[in-house]
Amino acid sequence: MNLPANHSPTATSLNGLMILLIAAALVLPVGLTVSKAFSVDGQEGLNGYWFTRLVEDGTAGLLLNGLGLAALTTGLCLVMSVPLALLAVRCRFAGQGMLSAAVLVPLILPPFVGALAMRQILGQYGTLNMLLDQLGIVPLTEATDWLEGGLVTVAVLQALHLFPILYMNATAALANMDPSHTQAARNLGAGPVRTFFAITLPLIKPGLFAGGTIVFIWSFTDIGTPLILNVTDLLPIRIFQQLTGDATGKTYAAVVVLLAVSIGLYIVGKFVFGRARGASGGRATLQATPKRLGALGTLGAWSLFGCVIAVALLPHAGVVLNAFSADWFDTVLPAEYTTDHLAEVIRDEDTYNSIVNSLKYASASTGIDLVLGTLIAWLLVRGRGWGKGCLDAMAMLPLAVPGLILAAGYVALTAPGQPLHSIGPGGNHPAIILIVAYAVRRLPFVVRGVSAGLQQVPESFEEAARTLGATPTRAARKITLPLIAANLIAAAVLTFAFAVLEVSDSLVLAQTTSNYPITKQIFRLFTSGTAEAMNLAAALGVYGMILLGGTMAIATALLGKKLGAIFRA
Amino acid sequence: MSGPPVSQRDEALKQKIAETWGQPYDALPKEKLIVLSANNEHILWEFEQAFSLHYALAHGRRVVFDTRDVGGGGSKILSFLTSIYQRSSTSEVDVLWGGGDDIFRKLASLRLLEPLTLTADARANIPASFGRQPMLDANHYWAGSAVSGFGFIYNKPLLTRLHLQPAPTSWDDLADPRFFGMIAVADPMQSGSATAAYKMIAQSAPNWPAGWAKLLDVLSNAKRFYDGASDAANAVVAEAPLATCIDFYGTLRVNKYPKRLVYVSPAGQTAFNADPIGILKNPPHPKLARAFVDFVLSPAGQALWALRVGTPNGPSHNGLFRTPIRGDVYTTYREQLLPGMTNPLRPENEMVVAEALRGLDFNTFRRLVYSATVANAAGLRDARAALIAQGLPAAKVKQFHSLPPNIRTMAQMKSVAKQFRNEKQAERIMTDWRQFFADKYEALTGP
Repeated sequence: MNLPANHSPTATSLNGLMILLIAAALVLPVGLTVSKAFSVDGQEGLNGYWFTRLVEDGTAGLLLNGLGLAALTTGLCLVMSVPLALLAVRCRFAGQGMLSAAVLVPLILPPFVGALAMRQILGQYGTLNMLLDQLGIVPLTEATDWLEGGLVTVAVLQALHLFPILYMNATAALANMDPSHTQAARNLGAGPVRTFFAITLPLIKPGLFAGGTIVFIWSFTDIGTPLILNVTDLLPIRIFQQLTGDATGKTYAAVVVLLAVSIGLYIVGKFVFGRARGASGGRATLQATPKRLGALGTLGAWSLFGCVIAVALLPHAGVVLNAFSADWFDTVLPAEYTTDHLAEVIRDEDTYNSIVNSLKYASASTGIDLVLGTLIAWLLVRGRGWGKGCLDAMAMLPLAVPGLILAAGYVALTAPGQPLHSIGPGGNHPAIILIVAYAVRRLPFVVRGVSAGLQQVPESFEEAARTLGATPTRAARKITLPLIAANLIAAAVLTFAFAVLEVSDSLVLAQTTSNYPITKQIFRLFTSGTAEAMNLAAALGVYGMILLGGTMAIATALLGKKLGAIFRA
Repeated sequence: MSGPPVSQRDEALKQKIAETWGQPYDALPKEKLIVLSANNEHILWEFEQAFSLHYALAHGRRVVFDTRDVGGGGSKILSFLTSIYQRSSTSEVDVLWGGGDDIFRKLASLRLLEPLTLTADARANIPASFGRQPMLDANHYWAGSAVSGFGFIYNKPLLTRLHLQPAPTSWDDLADPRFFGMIAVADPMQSGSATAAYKMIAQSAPNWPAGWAKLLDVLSNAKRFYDGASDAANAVVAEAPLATCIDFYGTLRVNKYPKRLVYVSPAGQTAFNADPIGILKNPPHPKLARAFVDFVLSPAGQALWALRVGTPNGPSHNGLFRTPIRGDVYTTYREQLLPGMTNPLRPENEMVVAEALRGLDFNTFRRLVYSATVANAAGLRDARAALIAQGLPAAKVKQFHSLPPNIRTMAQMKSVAKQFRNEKQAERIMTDWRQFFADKYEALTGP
């Protein structure tokens, strides 16, 4: 372990405090649940029996599948997002604002109905194959089942959903980059490709690492997409199937392994890819002049954005069509349309409540994440305290914890008679546990995003301010915070969006109608078993998309040119 | 949910309540009942409304439901409750309603339910069992509140387009190789009703190996194993022309698309099991909980399941399309029944099970089915495809149907069922079974 040369007791205390906080909100509930991994036949004490059983169960193969999938998904996200981010930051073209905003829309796919829309579009007798049949290309009797695509299809679908995370981090990193470096390279005769690989890529590495780690661990531990595509040879899927069916100690041992491998991967990844090159990259001290694209360039930019967005928005289109469909059976598109489902859902006062609740929970948890995440990021990048490695790993842990496990832990902690009962699902203030759960699960977004920003801001800026008499707090507030504003905004948008779309904790921890967030309300409609269940759930999904899209649009409008300037640098 | 306008019947009842208690219904004090339920909101709303009116007339107080939903059906409810009761003497929930009889059996065995004090009328009209499935717990820890049937649904125009007519009418038909990869099937670990149906398919054969072979032929035609019975039913929209299905999901869909969807309840081969109601251990409102259970099991409560909207005894807003467990409802309210609603618990629907197959243990069977199918879905499909391509050669089909060595007889099943009580042994058996089927399917798929 590297001990800081000029150790700061305050930073060490804060590291300890943050570690304790994460331990209380995450490690304790998860530990309560996975403790079954260490006991056999109800006997107390540590016992490794279940871990030995995992070996026989082909767990290594499942883990390798997961690693391959995560690597492929992250690679695809990089390939999709970096060119788009370069276009967005370095160029100017007509319609740019709209396209840059549209890239974020894949983030706002509502759960359940998003999956259902994929099934409706890609199912063997769904929209795509009906269209191919109608066009006389492939008859329905020979239709391919696109939902049986294997790991590569899972990676493609995951990438289409997750690439905005990397796009936002890459955009923030590019915006933070000092353009004089690339200008110098170009002046010295380097071509654009060489300049990109030799100068730009190394300088935006912290941002790519920040987004890449989140995408990698997300993909590695994802359940939703593999389940839609019937890919079950993955450890999280095996765990999920057992948790919802016949869980034994081995299931919990598998959870422990999944957590350990995720964190191990993060540490290795950090060692290999994520080491900051000091502050030599430096943040922009002068503004780059974006290149205005001509007609051909604009067409190219539109095509690139258009292709990615069109494919990524297919499920959204499916959700909207389902919401408006009065009859969608054996046809490419609905045979009849209606606004009844949208009207019925909005008449229900539970819908209104769930929208308000989601806004409340997501805003509160995003606020908590911004404060704690920024503090943790500062401690990790700037702090001179002990225990940074531990804090760093702990702050990434929430990404790898299966939602069901965390939720089960919270249920145990807030059972009747327990000291925390009043903030639990059956208590008087059930919103609190939901906000805590949301905040814990999305903390890594802020920690990673802000860390990347801090790594790009030379510490010498703050030192200069302090030499001129500013206190550390004032230096951070006046110098550092404005310089990492792009990262903060990107992190806040991601945190808010994913909090609104949080599923596992919402399903288990929101138990009374008045406390339902929008995801639980969609689930309730989706599983009602009625013939219109899908349409009503999709209709609420549409409202969810409007809510999230609207929030993002309002944020953009409020920040106005400032936001654009932040991202442009 | 904000309520729809009240029906004429409800208005009349409210007037009567006002006359009896000297103040309008809406001004009466409220009592809270905490209900944990897998039932949908239409069902909960209708029962809350009707029960509150009945209770107000008798006691001068209204009832409001505090409905709890733990994010899923049977397995989620069970894990939630067991986790709570490990740490507390009460779950602070009064009534558990729906989710399938297997969780109630489990909760009763853990003594997490209060014994019910059923009225003589309820005891007389709810059968103790049907087709060897309990409808009423022997110790009255729970009572069936409705009957769940299990059959299959198909998309008629799609079957025609895929040249798959004639349509199937029995489980045996579903085993036909022409339906290979065409049936959306429910995962037995997620759906107790599906397990009950698979059990009936197996039990319709003369002996255990033949029953297993029959079931495996049906399940190896699966397109996919879906999480729950409702999820499988949704697949007939765009994924598969056929799906296994709980009866009321089927009837609700057929009611909406009568020309396109058909629900089949295979005669004499349909599993019927109870969807129970019970009172959880140490409920916060025990008296009200008992009153609600009595109401659900009374003719007035049972009528809500099956009667048309707006009829004198029916629901006031939504037809519920569920099957009452009391036989008298079908005769008392004959004129008001929803279309197609008939009493399933009639002798002709009761399947005769061969003596040799009576000892089939539900939980052991469901784990065996899971190991052979869901846990080895790709292998199963490849092996079946290879067999069909080779013209179903007898020797290989026999190998395909073979059972793991520890569960080839009913006596062995009994012994395995005992071993499942031990977590270590249970895990080892499941792992061995998974491997047994994986190896067998691979051998059949190879050259």
